[in-house]
Amino acid sequence: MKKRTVFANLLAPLLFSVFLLSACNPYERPLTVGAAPWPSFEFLFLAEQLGYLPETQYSLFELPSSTSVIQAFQTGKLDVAFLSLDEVLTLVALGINLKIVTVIDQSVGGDALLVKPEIKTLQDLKWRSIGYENKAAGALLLDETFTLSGLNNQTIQLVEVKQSEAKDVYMQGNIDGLIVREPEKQQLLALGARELLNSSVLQQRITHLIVVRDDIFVSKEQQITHLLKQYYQAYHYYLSNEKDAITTMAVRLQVYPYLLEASFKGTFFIKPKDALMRLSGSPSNIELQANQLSQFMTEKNMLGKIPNNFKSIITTRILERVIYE
Amino acid sequence: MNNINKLSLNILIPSILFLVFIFLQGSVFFLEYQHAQKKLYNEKAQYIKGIAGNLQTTLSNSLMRLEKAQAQNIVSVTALDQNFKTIAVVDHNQQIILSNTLRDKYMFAKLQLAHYDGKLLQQVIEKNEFIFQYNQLTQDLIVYAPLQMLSKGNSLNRKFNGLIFIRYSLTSAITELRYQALFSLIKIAVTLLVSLFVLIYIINRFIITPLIKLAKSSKISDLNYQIEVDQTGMGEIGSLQRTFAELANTVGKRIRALSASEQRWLYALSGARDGVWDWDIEQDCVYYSARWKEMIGFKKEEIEHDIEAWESRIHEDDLFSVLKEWQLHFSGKNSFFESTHRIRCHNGEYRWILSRGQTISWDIHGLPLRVIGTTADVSKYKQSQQNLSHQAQFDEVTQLPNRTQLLKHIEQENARAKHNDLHGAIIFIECHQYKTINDLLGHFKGDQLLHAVARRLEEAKTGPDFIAHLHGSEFVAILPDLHQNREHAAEMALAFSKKLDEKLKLAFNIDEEVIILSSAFGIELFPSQDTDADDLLRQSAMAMKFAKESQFSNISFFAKEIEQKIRARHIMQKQIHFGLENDEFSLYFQPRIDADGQLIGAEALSRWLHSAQGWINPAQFIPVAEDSGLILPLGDWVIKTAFEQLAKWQLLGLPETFTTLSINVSPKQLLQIGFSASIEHHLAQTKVDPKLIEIEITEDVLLTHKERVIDKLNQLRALGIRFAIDDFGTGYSSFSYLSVLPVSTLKIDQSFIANLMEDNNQQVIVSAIINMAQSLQLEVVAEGVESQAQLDFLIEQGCTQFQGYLVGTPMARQDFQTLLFKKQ
Repeated sequence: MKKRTVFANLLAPLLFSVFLLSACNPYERPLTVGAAPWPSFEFLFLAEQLGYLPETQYSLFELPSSTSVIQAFQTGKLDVAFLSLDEVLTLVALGINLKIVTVIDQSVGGDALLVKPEIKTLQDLKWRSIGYENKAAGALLLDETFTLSGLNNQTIQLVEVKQSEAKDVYMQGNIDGLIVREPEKQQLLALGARELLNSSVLQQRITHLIVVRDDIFVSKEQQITHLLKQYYQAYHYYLSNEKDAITTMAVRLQVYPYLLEASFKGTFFIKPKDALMRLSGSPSNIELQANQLSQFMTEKNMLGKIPNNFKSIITTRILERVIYE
Repeated sequence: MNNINKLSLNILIPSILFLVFIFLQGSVFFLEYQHAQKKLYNEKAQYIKGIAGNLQTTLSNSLMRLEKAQAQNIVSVTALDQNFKTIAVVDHNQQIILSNTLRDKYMFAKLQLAHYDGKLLQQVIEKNEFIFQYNQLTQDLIVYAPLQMLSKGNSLNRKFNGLIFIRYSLTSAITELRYQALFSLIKIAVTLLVSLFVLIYIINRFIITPLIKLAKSSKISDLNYQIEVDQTGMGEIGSLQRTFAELANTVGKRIRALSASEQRWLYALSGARDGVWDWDIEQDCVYYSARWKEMIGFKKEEIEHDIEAWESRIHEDDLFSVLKEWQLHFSGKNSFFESTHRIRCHNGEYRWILSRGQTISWDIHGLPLRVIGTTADVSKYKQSQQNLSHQAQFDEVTQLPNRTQLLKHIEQENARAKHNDLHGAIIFIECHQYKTINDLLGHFKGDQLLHAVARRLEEAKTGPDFIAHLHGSEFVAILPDLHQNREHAAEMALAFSKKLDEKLKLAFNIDEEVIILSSAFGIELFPSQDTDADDLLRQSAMAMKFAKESQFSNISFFAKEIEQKIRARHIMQKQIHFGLENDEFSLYFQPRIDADGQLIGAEALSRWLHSAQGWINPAQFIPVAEDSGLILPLGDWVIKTAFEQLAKWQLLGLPETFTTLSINVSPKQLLQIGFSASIEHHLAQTKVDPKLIEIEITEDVLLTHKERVIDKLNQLRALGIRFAIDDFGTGYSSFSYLSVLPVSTLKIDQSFIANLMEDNNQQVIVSAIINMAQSLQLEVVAEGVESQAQLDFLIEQGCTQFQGYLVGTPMARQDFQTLLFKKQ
């Protein structure tokens, strides 16, 4: 009888360890993170440049446009994506499971409608062509343009122009207006483009977020937390060493530092504690904002299927850890 | 090997399985891992080449249409794989046009791109060559793919071409592969361990435990009872258990039968009161049964377990025969060991045991390994057997050996005497009055008397003497090894008989009756040719009868000549004695001359004129005198008389030529303690010149008492007395003594001289003696010279002094004196 218990005592842990072993894979892939150019997003790449993010744990993808980011996130190539709320809603509508872990900033003029210098008003755009990025926040601004000018897609020729293509397209001169965001906005302004409209006027504020794929959220929580911490760490570096940080960031974006400095003026950075405020509560600020935006986007046929519960895609857990640990 | 055998199957089987599995799995793992790595490489290489090809097309399209942003987009999207370390487009100036890392754009490729080899640019552009590399160290796949970037006027000027540089890292893939492999290995190992535990459990449950139980039940030593064997095992184990149970029961039955049979034997043995022993020769370990020990008065633990315990207790007289029995048995001559011998008991007494045994196992060389046997106490049988044997050999009344034994003894002694050349005697004794006493006082008293007689006879006997009782009052005494000389032996037998006669003449007290016995003795000497024991006994009986009838003596010899000789000797001794007392002896002097015929000395010789028998030959009375010791007074008388005579002659004026008066001294006389003193005494009394005295001794005396004789001679030599060796050449001469003895003269024995002229050998011997004497500066006297020829020869050889009938016969004192003083 005693022998039997010894066997049981030995067998149970053995079987358990077999179970454990089959449950987890010891090899940890690096966390894939992607972002398109946008001033506030640059802190991510600044953090990388400062060596805050070890290569073995984080793989950063420098994508040229939000469309690329959405596509990459959609296809599972990214674990973490830096996106605007409308872009996130688009993904949610597509049935992608994700979690919003923090709010980064609001566009306060960072997105704008730029036109050739000869075009003075919105009405001048009638029968002209406007380039914009369909899946990105620019769509909101286009909608605002239509609202304000009374023009519609019948009277304006719409052309899909990705963020990275904007400069080339403008220089070719084939398109009359372009909806762009920083830092391309500053580049075009520098080339003489005229700003007719920017995000500061929008009722639906363009809010930028960091989202994480739902399936890795639990298992890579630690890594995500660390990523955010380092991201905010880089932001602090920017605050305390602005010139150095700007220079570093400018190299990547291939813009002059002063233009980048100007670019930052079009963004309002939300600090972690404020971000937590926005994510907390029931309903939370972001939840309300998402509801409004989704409703709005649905109306404008920008979204197919309305997600009904936004609460489930918001988590404060990571941010709490970032702030309090 | 033993240790492995003792290992539990519980450990052994899983261990072997584990080792085999580990080995096989390790090999499979290694091969699979190698294969997977190769496969990974091939796949990735194919993949990268595909990517590169794709990029060549898409980027070329975009760049030719000057859609640089589109091209960048392609690059960035393509690089959406963390393993792409670099995807860059480099133009002919080594400038990076496009890169997945925006920071690198418009930088110098050689500086900015890790692992980029700028030298290859030219080769790629010029030859439009696709280069694929694998950096083993960094595990990077590197591609240099040519890229057409601009078309200017449809020209294909390669100046505007560039290349796509791709660096794809396999590190993570390989690491993952490794992790996966390791993980699967661990999974398999754990699965294996679990399986092994299950196996151990199964082995334990269905094999080991039943086997242990089986082993335990097979340990049961007491097979007298039914053995309970657990028979619940499965399969072959169950069949083993059943077989064992069957075996155990069969063995049990057999053992019970065996123990019953053993008990029968034990009861039989204990009933027979026999001891059992079992000797393991190789180990020298002997099992002695309790009865064996009890037989000789020991308790169980008091005896060691070796053969020494037995052997050391065997009576020393029996040891040889016991060992011989063992030897006969071990050598195969006797198929059984059987020995009756005495063994020392606990209280020190000896007990007769009969031991029988048989070897029951042998080694390959045929040497015995184990012997088993029994021992019976045969003391009582032995005792009665001895009694019977005693009765057969001894007379019951006198406790003396009987006729049978006597005859046997005579036989032996007769044979022995022949061999030893020693004479012995058989004395037949009979007491005259016994028959009368027996009739008058009854048999009982008669027997008592015989017993008393026997004891007295026994008292008289010494050493090897043997006394037996025949019947009635007849006794026989055997005296072996008396003397070499038959007559001497007869004398000794006679003396012994007289001693017995004295003893038997003493009164016997038998139940307050005083009995005086007279006896007759018949003596026969042995050995005697052609006579057996019976003859000898009969002859001695005849001698006894003769003595019984004789009026003169109650002791008689069977050999009459002996009796007569002895009688004659006795008479002679008495007469010598008488002669000495009555001056019947006188001295005669035999002259000695030198080569010139001059009288130079004389030898004094004793002569006996018997009052009744006239002159008696010295050869007759000298040996008797010597044997009886009368030679001492006789010799003394000779010396004294010779000295006195010489003293008288000295007074008369002894001629100067007369230098020697020679006197014979017998060995007995010479060895006598007071001899020197008596010589000195006589010298002092007579005042003769010692230088004139020459004492003749024989060589024989030197044989036995050389040292004493030499001392004595030296003592007398100091007084001036000279010595001559008489009868030189006849004794057991050893010439070596001539150099140590203080002798001055050799007297050549007359036997050499007698045939001197006829026998050449004698001449040689005599010459040699003379020569030797001359060399040793000794005088030589030739005795027994009877002819002129002899004298001449001797003179020629250098002999200086002569004696013999030619010179002069022994003369009476007066005659010699006349001769001595005649010339004067």
